[in-house]
Amino acid sequence: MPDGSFIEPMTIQSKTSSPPDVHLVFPAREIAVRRALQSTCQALKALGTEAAALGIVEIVLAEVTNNIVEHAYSAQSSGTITLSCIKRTTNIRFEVIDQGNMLPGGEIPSKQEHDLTIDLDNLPEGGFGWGLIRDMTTNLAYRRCEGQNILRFSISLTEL
Amino acid sequence: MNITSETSGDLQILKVEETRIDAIAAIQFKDTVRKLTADQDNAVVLDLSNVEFIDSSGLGAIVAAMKLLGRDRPLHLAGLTPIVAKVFTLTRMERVFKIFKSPLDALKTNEAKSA
Repeated sequence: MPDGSFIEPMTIQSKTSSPPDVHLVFPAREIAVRRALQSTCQALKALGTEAAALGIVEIVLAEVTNNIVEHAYSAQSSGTITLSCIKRTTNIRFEVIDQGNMLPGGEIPSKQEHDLTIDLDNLPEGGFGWGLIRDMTTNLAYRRCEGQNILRFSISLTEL
Repeated sequence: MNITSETSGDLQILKVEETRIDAIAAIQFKDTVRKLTADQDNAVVLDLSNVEFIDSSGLGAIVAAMKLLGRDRPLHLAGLTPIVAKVFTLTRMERVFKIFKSPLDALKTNEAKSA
């Protein structure tokens, strides 16, 4: 997997690169998250992103932001999420920032391989999120910096 | 959560009349399925043809609904849109359910009636 060395300082917002196509700051609450996702997808659709890619974008962003609401900010009553993205020719580059708890061990969790041969009662009802994020993104990288979680990833527009 | 129920043949067909089963909708989904399937004993086909978006919470809620119905009442899926199908494939949960193209397909086959 890509390691932390991939991350350059503030790729999306640096002076040398173009400004983001989407830049949203919103409360880490479910309703606000749903609206932010829909706004992001609408903006990317207006920029010519096809339906199949938008579906992937929405799932990945839902998993990333749900994790932030449920885990990073779990012990806190409030917090914000900053979401930026740039649409390029072959991919969309994303950056998601929060000020919540660090990811366990400071690392992106690996994909959980569930045993699906087990009893009905023991089938998994969760633990799918990071697997979906890993499967649907490239250049996935995480950094903890000055109390912030910075997650960056790309979604391909050519390999869907 | 708007879900309609119809019994046809030996199957109870639950059609999700919403476009999203996400973190917000997941609990309502489970509660509604619980209510609609109480006091019945047919196998259930969940028609997802209107659902354009599902995340891991929604997927978890469908698994929870399957557990709720128990061993003797299988829960099958029908009408998966491309993005919903992708989520089931990537998480390998497609192996846990019988998946039909449509509720009609499920009705045509006796396979749907047994676990």
